[in-house]
Amino acid sequence: MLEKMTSTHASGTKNVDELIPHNVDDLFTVVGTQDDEIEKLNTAPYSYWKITFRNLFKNPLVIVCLFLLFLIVFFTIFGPMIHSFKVVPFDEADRFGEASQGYYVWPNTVNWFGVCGHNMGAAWEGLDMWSVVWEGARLSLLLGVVVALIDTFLGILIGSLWGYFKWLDPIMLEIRNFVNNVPSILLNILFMQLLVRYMDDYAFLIVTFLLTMFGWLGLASFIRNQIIIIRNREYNIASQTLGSSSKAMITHNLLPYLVSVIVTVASTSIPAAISSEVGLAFFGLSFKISKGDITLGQVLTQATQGATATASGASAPWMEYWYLLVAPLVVLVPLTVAFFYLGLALSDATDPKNHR
Amino acid sequence: MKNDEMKTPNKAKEMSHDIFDTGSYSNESVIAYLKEQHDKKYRKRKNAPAFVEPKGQIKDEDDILVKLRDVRIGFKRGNTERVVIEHLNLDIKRGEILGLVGESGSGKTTIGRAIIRVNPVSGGVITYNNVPISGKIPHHVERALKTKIQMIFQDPSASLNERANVDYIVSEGLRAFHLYDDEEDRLNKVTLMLEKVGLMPEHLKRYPHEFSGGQRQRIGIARCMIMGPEMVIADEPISALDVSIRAQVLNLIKQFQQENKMTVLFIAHDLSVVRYISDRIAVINSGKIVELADANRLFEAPLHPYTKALLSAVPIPDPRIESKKKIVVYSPDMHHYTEEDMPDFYEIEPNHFVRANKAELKKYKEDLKALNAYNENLKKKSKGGQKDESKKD
Amino acid sequence: MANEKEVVISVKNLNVKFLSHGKKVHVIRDVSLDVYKGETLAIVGESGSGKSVFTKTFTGMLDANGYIDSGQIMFGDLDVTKFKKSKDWYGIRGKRIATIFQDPMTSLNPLLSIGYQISEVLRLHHGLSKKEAKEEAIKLLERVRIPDARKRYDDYPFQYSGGMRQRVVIAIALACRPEVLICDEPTTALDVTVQTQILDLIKELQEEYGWTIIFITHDLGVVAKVADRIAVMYGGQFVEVGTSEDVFYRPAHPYTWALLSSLPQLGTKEEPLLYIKGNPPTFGDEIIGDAFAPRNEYAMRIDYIQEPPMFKISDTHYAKTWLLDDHAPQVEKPRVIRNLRERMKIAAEELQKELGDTYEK
Repeated sequence: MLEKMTSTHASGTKNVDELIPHNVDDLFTVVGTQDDEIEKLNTAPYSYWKITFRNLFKNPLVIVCLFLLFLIVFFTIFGPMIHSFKVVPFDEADRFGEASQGYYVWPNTVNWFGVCGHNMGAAWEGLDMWSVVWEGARLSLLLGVVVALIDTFLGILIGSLWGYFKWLDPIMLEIRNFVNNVPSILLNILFMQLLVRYMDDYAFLIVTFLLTMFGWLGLASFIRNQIIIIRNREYNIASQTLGSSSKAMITHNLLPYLVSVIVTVASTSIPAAISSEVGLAFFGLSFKISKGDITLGQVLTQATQGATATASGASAPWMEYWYLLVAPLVVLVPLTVAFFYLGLALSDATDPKNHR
Repeated sequence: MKNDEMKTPNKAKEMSHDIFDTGSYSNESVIAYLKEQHDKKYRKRKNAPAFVEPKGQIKDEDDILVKLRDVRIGFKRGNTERVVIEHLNLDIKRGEILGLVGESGSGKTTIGRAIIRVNPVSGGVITYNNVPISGKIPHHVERALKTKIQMIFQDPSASLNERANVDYIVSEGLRAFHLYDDEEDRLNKVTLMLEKVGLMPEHLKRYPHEFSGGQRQRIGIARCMIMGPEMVIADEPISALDVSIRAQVLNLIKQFQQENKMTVLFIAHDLSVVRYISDRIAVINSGKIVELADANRLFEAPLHPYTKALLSAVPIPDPRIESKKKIVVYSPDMHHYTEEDMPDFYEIEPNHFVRANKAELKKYKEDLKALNAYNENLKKKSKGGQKDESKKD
Repeated sequence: MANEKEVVISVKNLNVKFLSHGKKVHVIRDVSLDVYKGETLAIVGESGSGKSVFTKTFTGMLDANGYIDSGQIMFGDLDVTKFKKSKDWYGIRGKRIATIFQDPMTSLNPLLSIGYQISEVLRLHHGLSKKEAKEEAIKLLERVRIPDARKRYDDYPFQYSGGMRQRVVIAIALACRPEVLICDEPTTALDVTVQTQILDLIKELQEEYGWTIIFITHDLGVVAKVADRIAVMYGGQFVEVGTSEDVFYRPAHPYTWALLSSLPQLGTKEEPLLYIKGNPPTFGDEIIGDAFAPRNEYAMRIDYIQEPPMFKISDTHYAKTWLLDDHAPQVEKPRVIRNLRERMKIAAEELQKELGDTYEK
């Protein structure tokens, strides 16, 4: 409507006269500027987190990932309730006439993921795979979240101090070189040998310790690099001339700029920790089923090694009964992939470049 | 001048207000220190150059707020040092606005940043109110200095923390020195300051990127002025802004300067702007001050070819004049400096300094005579013609 | 407008909108303009006035969220608003219309030598052999006054100063032999002395090659040297269009008055320097009336109600302000505008002593 009225083709004064013929003089009175208007911002106030969440939930991939994660968490809590965590009696397993092959039972309508068999070790024999997998996923997930939280906390704390205080740099660089050049599995074995006698009572603490021992280093050195990049930007020099303390500089000037990368690294460090536990379990440095602790790492280890390990020359259990490998992977793969894509989406949504 | 007495933080805080009132590091101490350094440097060498006493431009010692003597600033990269400034002597008068004009790479920004201790100096002395502020100084002096000298930055989008709101940005200095009674007092101070720079209380919770360039620079001025500084280093505060709003920022700086009797070092690359705001103007080229004079005098009687080049480069908003204008191009090769006739900084007339060697000095003196005659002539003409314009000068 | 001159680019009722957070933002508002062959047209306006967006439509370089809503842009007999695929632009962008940006590094590849980047253009556009291209490129570098062009041929952009880089970009534009050269604030990031040299060079090259130049700037001061015609832009519209002399000697729009008044060259030390209060419109809401009204000392009630039409002052001079209406009162112009010529003369005398005399003649 307005455009029609104010077309640039309107010539001379005719238009106005027609529109408002009675008070032309009044119309042509100089009233000057609108001082209270010209400094006003007519855009909606900006809020970092509001826009972040809006961008996040606009992404269909996020919805899919969140749904997957919800499903996994739901089953880690309620999955084992459907089938209790128990040894399937031999005669029950033999219902299908398969147990004669060594207690292994292929997935069926009762034991959805099948049953563990004889050469996976005494403690495993006859366990229902469905409940084993969800029990394992529960502990793995819990471990992953705790380790990721500790890694992130330490990574931020140490990384920001490392990047901000120049004198810390040479010391920390040496530590990083040491850790990077010594195989971590060696350190893990050494510490495990020292701590193995406390495994009975403090298994979770010890495994968490092994995983976090140097797990923070990645994020810390990442944050250090980022801080060195932005440390000498003009606004930091401004804060310096205003006398801001180191604490204020780190918490207000540096870390807020790194929220995007921190959130991303943190969310990907959950699946990373879960995978690391798989590695530890493979070397027997993790929880023991004999104590009633099952992780996805253990399930995979038993499926690939069996009780006597492949050194005996016997083929690994999964090569004959492949459901042993598929069942834990059905949980592990969606779990890691969902966290990975969630991390990617978070890094996009939290990046202020995408907020304008 | 080194760790004479390290006070406990609390005591330092109480002390901070009078450290600079009782400065005793006068000119003699500076010269003595520089001579000592000079002797140390050439101790083992034969035919060492004689020590030359560095001289400033202001005679009355009491007028000088900031004194730079024989200052050398270099940037180390590995083992090599790129020297930007060498043998720099400059006085900044209490309560004046000193314009420092030069092109990018001339070292003008470096000088400003050396005074506020962002860039370290690698030689010479800078004093503030007769207290040394260059090199290693006690922590409490450094803290106290931050309440005295503040800075306005060139690029208002780079120098504001994009992740902090206006409230935090403007009160950052207040928080750092706890210069308020309680939260309410702090908020009052910030609101008052925002209104002073023409912004509104409703802007407190906004973020820098929501503002226009001019508004952002005013936020930068607010956070600097809320500290009530004695001295401000304005590092090209308007060159990133549209011409149409530059004057607003300029007028604000001038207004604060007059209200608070502030001293301002105004760094710029464009002479036409500096003239409005400055009492004196120093022209700098390749780390050397080539001409220094009262602002009006520099425009009346520019002597150094570089000053002339800068003046001729200012575009005149008149198509007919522009088509006739010749650009004066400056090249350092036009000075024929030799071993025997090296340049120095001479006072060619009272308060008008120019960098020249003896041969050039002679020529500049003649130029000055000719310029004086020209200006006389101009004045007469305008007196005869327009009464209005005769008020000028 | 005058018909005797050949029109190169003709823009009719152009509307450009941007999509921002699901909201349509009207950035170029019903703009019409002709660009004549061989002229230098300066588009002057504050940041955010839409001056860059306007010229970006000529080469299809709008940001991804911007689009031409309606209107026509005729380049010769091609309507470029009809272009859909990026292939359509191949014959035009860089070839017939070249652009020089404020930051020369947007046009230069930091990883390739200067010489390679120029000779590549020559080989691609004009089919020269490697050797011919090198010789030609060195000639072009010499033409834009790069000292020791032969020696510096193999240098990389980081080894050049800002002013030198801008010269290289001009040399690349030269190599393209375009019909139209768009200079988007080419000197804003440069020192004043370098700025005048670059302006001189552009002017000189235009006389030699007969380019049509569109020169975009926020500084009315710098265009006196280069511009034949000036179009002042505000809030996505042209508010005053005229020859250089029209705009500098007989400015008619209060916004042009304000722009001229804020030039430090035209002020005197005794009076405070003037500026334009407030900020350019942010296009958040649809603008009602005259976009400049809230910042305009001379705004009349009608400016807040209805947008003024383009009034014709002379064959070459147009201004979009109600002040030119018969009903408008006589206003006293700002002090700088009242004795404009006098101030220009003083500025000239002050900046270059010899000029004072030439002015008299």
